Amino acid sequence: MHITLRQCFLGKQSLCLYLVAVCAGISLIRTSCAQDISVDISEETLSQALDDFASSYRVNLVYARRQVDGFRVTCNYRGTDLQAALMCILSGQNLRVIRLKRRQYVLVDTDRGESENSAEVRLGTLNGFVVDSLSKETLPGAHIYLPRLVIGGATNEAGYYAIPSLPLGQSYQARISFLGYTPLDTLLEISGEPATIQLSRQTLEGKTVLVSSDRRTPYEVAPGIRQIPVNRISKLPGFPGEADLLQSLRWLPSVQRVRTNQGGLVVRGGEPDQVQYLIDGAPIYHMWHIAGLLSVYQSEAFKDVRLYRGTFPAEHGGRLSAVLDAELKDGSMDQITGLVGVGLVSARAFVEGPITKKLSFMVSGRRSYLDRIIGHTHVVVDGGVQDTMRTGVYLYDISMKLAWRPSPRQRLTVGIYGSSDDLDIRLPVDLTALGSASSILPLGSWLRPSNLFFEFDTRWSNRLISARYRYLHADRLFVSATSYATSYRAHERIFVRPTTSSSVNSEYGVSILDIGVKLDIDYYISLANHIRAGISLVQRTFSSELDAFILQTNIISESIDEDSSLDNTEIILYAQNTWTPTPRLQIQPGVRVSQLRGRKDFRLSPRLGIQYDLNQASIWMATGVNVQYLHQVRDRYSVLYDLISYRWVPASRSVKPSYSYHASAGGSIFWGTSFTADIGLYLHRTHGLLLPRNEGQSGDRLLGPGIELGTILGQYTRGKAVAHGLEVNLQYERGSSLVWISYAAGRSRSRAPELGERQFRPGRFDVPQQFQIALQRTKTKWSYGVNGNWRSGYPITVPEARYAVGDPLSEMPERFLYFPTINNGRLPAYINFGVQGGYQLNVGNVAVQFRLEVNNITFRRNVIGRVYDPTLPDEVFVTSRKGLPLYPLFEITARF
Amino acid sequence: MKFRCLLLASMILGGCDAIQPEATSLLVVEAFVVSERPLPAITLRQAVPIQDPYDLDASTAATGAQVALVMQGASIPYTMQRPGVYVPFDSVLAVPGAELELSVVWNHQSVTARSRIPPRISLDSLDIVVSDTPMPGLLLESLFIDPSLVDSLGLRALGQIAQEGLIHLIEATLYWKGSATRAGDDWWMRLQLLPALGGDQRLGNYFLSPEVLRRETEIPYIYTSFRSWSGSYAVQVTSETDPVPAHALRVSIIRCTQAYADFVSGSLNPGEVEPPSNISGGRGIFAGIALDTMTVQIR
Repeated sequence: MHITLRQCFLGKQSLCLYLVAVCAGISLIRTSCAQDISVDISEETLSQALDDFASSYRVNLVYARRQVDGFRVTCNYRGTDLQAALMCILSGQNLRVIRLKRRQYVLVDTDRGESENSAEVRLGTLNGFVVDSLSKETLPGAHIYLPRLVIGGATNEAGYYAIPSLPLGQSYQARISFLGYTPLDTLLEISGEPATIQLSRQTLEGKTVLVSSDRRTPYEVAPGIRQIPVNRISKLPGFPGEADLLQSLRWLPSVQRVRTNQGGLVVRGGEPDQVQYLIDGAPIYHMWHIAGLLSVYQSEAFKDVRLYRGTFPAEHGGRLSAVLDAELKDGSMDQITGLVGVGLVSARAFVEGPITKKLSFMVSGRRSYLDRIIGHTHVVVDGGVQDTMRTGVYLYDISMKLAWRPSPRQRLTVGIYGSSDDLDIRLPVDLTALGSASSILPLGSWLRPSNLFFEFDTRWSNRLISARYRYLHADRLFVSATSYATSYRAHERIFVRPTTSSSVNSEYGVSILDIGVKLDIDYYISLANHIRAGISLVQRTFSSELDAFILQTNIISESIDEDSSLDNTEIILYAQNTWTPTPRLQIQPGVRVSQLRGRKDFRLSPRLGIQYDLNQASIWMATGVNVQYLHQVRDRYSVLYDLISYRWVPASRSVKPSYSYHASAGGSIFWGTSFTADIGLYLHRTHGLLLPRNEGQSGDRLLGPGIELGTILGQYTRGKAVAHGLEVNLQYERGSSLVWISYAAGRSRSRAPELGERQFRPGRFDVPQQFQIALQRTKTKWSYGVNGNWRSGYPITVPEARYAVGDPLSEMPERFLYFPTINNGRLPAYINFGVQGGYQLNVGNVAVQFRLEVNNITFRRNVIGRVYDPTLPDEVFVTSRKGLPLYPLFEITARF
Repeated sequence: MKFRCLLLASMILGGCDAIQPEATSLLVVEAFVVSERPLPAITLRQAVPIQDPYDLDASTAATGAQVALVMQGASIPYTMQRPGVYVPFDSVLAVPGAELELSVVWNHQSVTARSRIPPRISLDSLDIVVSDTPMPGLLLESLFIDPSLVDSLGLRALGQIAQEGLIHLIEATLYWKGSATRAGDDWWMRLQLLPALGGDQRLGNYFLSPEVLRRETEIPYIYTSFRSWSGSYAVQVTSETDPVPAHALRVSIIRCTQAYADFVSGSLNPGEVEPPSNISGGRGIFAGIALDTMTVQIR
């Protein structure tokens, strides 16, 4: 296989960036090396000598007072070796020094009469699992910190931690913390079996989370990779008032919830298809319910959700802007608990509990209820003529998980997830009556039996099954194996009978099936190094079919019958080292290698993160390269198909993958225990995007060119994009009060060189400024709050002139608009203020909560679109499409 | 100071948008060179700002331009006949297959365009079938929905552009002789049925096809050398006993280049999309076409 350097590193920029960052990190460390050490003491107390030495040469020494009290030492040393200087100080004592890592030493006793150098000090690994004290659910991302040693670590996805190379036979003071749980100070010892540390929740269910984590604990946040406090933001207001994880993510700076047909999140100015959504390690392709109203992520069902923006850990990839990694709950081992809730759109239920001492379950479900109220089929009668109207609109999602724990070292989980949407509409409409009416009410005035009708049946679904086996093979080696199958299917059927002798019948379907296996290994080499590596293999199959038939008259018809099937297999290898050379410094170099089977397109994606902790702050930077093998495209001409079922196209010989370079830097500042400020800057450059050749083209005809890959790709051209921005997030939590402020300033621009665009123009989701604020207060039973959201309007293409051109078949010239550049204008700013209130009461063991949100309390009709009509001889007629004025949302939940 | 720095950073990163109005003295060309007919008049207009009225008179005409048309290497000078309308000095027939070059200099702007004249075309025959009795039909003007009328279901807006009524369906089948293809030929066909109906009769032309635009080679031969296309349109009546109202039907057939086909295809939604232009430095269309029309009376 011939692989060029450029192919490997996706361009010299990436390689240079990576090397520069690595060199910078190394030089940072080496600046403090090779210092001169001078010790000249005589008959000084050992404790004083050690304290002076530690402060003079910035080393951490761990010892017990009993080891040093009452002893006096004499030492004269000049040199550069810290350990030798310490040995000089300890000479003649029954102590020896063990280097744990750079500038960190522990004093251990030696037997009397035993040579200091011959003593064999046995080392071991302080390891175990961190779990919820009640449910025994493992807690990924919890932090274990040994303050005396100034070292620590974080639990992996299985809640496992390991701190190797510590002397045996000692007790270690440890502080274990996790967001939303009471920090635990305890003594840990190295033993043969992993310890199980139980943390207690610090919040009352149903109340706003008002918990500060111990933000000063080092290693809490991987460099440049922010673990999102999902528990906290999921309590912030979100449309449509129900607990929905993805709706809440918009409270993070540079994360936007966009209302396109396929729904989605836009992160740091990217595109919706550049965000990967994972449930238990398996991808979900269509994560939104009807019209993007709700996501398929029901908050209660997940125990751990992480949103990685820009730079991902090496194990993640395949998308350019973000990865949302969610893991379903294993189920409580304590007792059966649950929740039922009713909101504006749907009702939901959640139950978890033990089955046996080693087996637990979790079941969660949600379903809309509108169709249960209004019914699915209706008989409409008019003048003895009868017809059927269908109003089948419903959605559901369900998730289940079984977790089997045969021993503390093993855990096998099987997760099943499914979601579905169905819009089955048949309307016999008297259009004449409808068009002449001043209102759509009463419905009976136009919903009448008719020879003419239209039927619309669209449904889409996700199915996922995932099995994961986690095994602690040795104290330092943790293995996780995952296999999954996930599918997405969508089907659109439209039947219109515009006359009694003509009809339009169209069926369009798309499906995706991913089957994958993954093996991840955590190896804790030393106190300073933790390697995570893995291999993944995924087979993707994409298929679509279209069968449309338009019968105009008895003899005139038009049809299109096409199908398409594509597949690819991607092989991925990754490795990432978490290196903590000093107590304050953490460096995470990583690399991800991917290749499509049978192709020479070999991609190497380096990643690097660096974090440095200060007393009241931390700073970090991260950079990396991401590769995306999938593109989301649609036919831009037809109104019959591709309405909802956006089509994914895998990279192939004709479609190259897109890739991006990402760099970010920032820091966090802490004032007291109540106030936290996060500030970050990012720069993102993308190549190989598919941009529409005609951005303004929308479905304006029954049949488009078809669904063949070449036909659809012909509507796109390759482009570039750049995005940069500033993110600020301020959090103030004190007592029962929470203030959340997020601000983002940034630009996102794209360019299609093949279309002659020499300059970058605003991308379709370019939002220069966004500001959000939420104030919440929780009393014993009452909770209330206000929130505000202000952002720049989305870009629009504004005509700058008008002209007319005649045609040989027209009597009069037609007037057109002159659109010299794409996205040259902007809608007015979007502003929305809201208030929320909640009341909780306990009925026996059931906590019932009522929650009401009222949004847009200023009755502002935000402009969400504009249309220009050039056909009149007077000035161009501009029509603005506006959003809803004040709208209330509610939810009632009962927890047991 | 920190606040100022933050404010400055956000201004730099976020920036602000300001639409820079482009010079609106944009030249718009309209020229159709019809095969085997005298070279046509060329109309030159200028674009105006969208807040201004657009009248098709001298106020929007581009006057004082220098126009030159080159056909098969021979330059044919043009002169302004009336404001914005330029005609050749001499009457010259457009030669099928000839390459064309147009250059216009106006108001310090220079625009150019190229095209080619397709082989002559002529309608050979026409079959028309009229329904015996009217039938209920949906008369839908377009899929453009007036946003100001959008309700929760979008239905009332649909009602504004659609109407239910009784219609006669009329089918027309056109026959023409296919062109002898040469290497590099890529002719397109535009076929149109245009009934002349008085009053405010609306046609259900969205689900029907009174007009089509298609690559000629994709239209099958019916006989040895004839290609055929069938289209239909609707005529509204008020009663089930009403016969088809007498009206004239103009049948048009155009053989054209892809540039013209793209222009017509891109003209469907003038509020959102600008038709692709083959005028370098300006807007509009300069195309060689072959055209034949026939008008028949439907009784």
